[in-house]
Amino acid sequence: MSTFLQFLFGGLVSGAIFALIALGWVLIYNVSGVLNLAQGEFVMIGALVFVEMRSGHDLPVAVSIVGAVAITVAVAVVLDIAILRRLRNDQMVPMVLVTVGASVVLREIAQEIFGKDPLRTKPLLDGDPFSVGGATVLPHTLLLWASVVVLVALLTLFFARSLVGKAMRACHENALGAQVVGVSPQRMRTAAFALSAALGAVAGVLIVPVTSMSWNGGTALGLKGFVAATFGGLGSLPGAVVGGIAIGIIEALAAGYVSSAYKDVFATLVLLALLLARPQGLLGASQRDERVGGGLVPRLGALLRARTVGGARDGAPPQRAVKDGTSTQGENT
Amino acid sequence: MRKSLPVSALVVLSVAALGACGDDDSGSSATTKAAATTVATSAAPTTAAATAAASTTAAATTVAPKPGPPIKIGAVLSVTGPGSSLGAQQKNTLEMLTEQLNAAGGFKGRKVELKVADDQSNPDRAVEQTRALIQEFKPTAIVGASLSGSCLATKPVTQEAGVLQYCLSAANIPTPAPLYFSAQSPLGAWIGNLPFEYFKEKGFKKIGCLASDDASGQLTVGVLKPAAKGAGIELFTENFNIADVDVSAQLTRLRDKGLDAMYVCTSGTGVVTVLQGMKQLGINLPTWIGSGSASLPVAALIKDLLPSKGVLTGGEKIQVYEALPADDPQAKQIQAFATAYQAKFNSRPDLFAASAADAFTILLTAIEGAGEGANTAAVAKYMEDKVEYTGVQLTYNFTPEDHRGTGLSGIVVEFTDKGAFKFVKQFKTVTDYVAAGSK
Amino acid sequence: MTLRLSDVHGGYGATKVLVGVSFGVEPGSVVALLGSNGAGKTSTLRAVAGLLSLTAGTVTVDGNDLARRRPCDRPADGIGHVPEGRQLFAGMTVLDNLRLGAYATRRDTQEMLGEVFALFPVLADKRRARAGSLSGGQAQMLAIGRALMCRPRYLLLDEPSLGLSPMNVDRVFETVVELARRGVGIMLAEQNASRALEIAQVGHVLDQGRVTMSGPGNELLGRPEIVESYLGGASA
Repeated sequence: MSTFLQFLFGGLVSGAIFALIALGWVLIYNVSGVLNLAQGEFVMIGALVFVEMRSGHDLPVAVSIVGAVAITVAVAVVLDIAILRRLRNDQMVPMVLVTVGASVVLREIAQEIFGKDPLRTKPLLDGDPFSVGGATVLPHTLLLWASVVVLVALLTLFFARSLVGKAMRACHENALGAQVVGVSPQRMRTAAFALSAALGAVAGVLIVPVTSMSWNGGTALGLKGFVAATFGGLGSLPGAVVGGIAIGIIEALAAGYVSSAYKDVFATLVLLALLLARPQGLLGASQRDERVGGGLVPRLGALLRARTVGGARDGAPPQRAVKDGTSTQGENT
Repeated sequence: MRKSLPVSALVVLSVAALGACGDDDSGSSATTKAAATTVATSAAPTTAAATAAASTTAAATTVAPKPGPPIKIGAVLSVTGPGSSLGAQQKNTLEMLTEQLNAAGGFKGRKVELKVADDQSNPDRAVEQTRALIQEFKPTAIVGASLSGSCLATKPVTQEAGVLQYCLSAANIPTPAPLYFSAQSPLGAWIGNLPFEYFKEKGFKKIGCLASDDASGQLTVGVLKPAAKGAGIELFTENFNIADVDVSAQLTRLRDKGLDAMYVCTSGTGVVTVLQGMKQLGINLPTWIGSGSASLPVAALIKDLLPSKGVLTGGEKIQVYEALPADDPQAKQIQAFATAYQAKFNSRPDLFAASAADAFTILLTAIEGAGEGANTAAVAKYMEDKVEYTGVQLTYNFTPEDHRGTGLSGIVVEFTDKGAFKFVKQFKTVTDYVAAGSK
Repeated sequence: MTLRLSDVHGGYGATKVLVGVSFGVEPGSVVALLGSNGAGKTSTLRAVAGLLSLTAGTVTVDGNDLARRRPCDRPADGIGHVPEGRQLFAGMTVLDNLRLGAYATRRDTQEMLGEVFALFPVLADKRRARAGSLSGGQAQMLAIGRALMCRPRYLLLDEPSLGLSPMNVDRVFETVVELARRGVGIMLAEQNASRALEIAQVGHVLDQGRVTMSGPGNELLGRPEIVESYLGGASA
């Protein structure tokens, strides 16, 4: 039992971090359809700025956290406004390529500023591990879990209650509808970049004492977050959280009970099996209920269908067909 | 610049204790070397003291007699990219030594021309840079690359072009090549034989290895398996992904094996992840870290994560240069180099810097020793036959069969909670467990 | 005080869908756009909504040129839009859909909610229901209600009767008349020509992106050859 608990705790540490990063992916993807491949770099920037402020300049922890989040958000906003806004809104492939380029540039800049070696700072809550049901947990880990829970709760409130949060959901539900009521897709995308950068930065702050971080250490984490987002159903925010935690736990249990040499393979197999059984991911909208959102796979399917059928009527660009071709059917009295 | 001059004098002394026998007849040194058989003298305290004065005058005297053509040394190093913590130090070292030598009138009267190219830690780029260097700069020898992958990728290029190559990584030399030399202690001895010598001495029976799934981790495992077998010690291995945030599941499995010691089979950020997990699980065991992590940045990174039973690694003298016993034959060399480096770059030189310094001096010695106009084959032959060098990192004696020319310092160091290393002990002899276990 | 299109040309890429369209909508009046599928009715509304880029001509609202305004500025400029296919936020509640209707203006939200619920009492009953669960008639009311939330001076209605039962069609058209009575200028694109012309002060017949015939609603309605040749498909 205590062994199982220990595996579970390990999985929950990774899972909580994956969940934060997956949320960042889904936020931007939902609002704008862009897959932001610089997501992991947000984690890296947050981590390195935090270390630099806290350990390099001896600033208080709170100030360093705020600074790390603020700078990461600023980087994301500049990336969106200065570069992505220059592209047309329906140019998805160029936008994704821009984020790839941005990730390379951000890594190089980080290397210039923070140096080549990994950096680290002391845990936010230092102290000896304590025992829970025979398994041990570090104080910092508790703080990590609490932070992720609070962040997810705040995010849930934001989307459920605030008008801006609802406007962001509206962009995902129906991009044309959102524009018609006066929601600027560009501003919402900027807001999504800012939010997801903040989440990434917090993830960075939380893990840098545990794993350390170097200029090129964000990329792999970013991809883990993408896998988690796909697992949960790309397009679903609850799915991102569930997907992240699920991947973390599956990997830990696989490493603990099966073989650590094949834990990544195992996690990948579970993901593949899931996508074969449920192409929309764990919590992604099913085909029947596609209008709620829809995962990546059905969206690609819709895109293909729209292209082969010849796009939406009235000669509208095919992009529209993907984004809003969902709400028109099945509404007869 | 001005204030670094006294330092430069020291470096010239340390780099080229050769000056000791070269100054008086700098123009026609080749024959003298041949007669002396030992080209680079071991820097015995007495001769070193004598040359301290000589080397300062060398600058004045060596300019006057007919200077030979410049010696051209190229370098392909991982100045940027993942290997940059090696390459940047190596670049610093080569540039510093070149500057000091030329300021003092050159290497026995011959100016040294250095050109450093950055392979960005990428073997493909290393090949391109090597080709470009050979075509445009036409060096006699190339120092580098920093990483074994780049070394092996560039080896065919240099061998075909007839250029000497002195690789700085500890990679194995799978097939010896006439013009290819390699620095560092043999990797297997360093990360396999030495720790197991230590484990055996302590009477350890069970060792756990947590390995990252990247090259550094898998390479370590590949060495540890035969080493454990050869030493008659049981080895338990678990794996993790270098991007993993938590490795407590793997550590739990290892903990339950009743280990005597842990081996952290990874490098860079992976070390932190493993030590953090050990702290969480309360695994307080003597812990060995693989060679890739025996560097100062890593030492600073983990200073608050050390289990009280100690974290050890196979070290080099330069890492503990302040603490070297006065009768150590390398002490003067190492201290002079380290002081100069620290003064110039305001950072501590690591063993990567030391290996570059040795490679550079050995190449210059051989090129100069083989004489003007000698082809690279003759230079290589000279290295094999005549060069015996007591360096900053190790001592070297090449043969046609052994192009590494060096063994193991046998030094074990411990990471300190100040982010540095402290000397633990030196094994005079280290058994080749890897070879024994490979049979 | 007019919403005016002057010599509007526009299209998607190389395809021209509007060729010199000019007409105006006065506050308090209903202007019907008629024509067969692909004649340019929806494109005209999209041009006003900023969703179709103009190659020539201007769209002005009360004298202000909209050329430099973004599509999402329309609610602030006094233009509400019930687009083709309604484009509701299906996964969100009726109330959230309506609140988002006031996203751009963000004033008098409670008051406007009261007005919309008075106009469509069924929406008040269904305020917590997901928009996606509404019937076609209710969804159309929600779409109109959402467009009204920004207190528009002009309302663009794209095929409001499409897919509705006759009873619901009546309900929608009554609402349109009521809104015009309150002073909203209405641009109504409709295939159901006879119903549209019954309530329209002015009708414009579009064919291949041009206005081919214009006149008072009842006059056009009284010319059977027009109804047959241009609008025949609609009444079938």
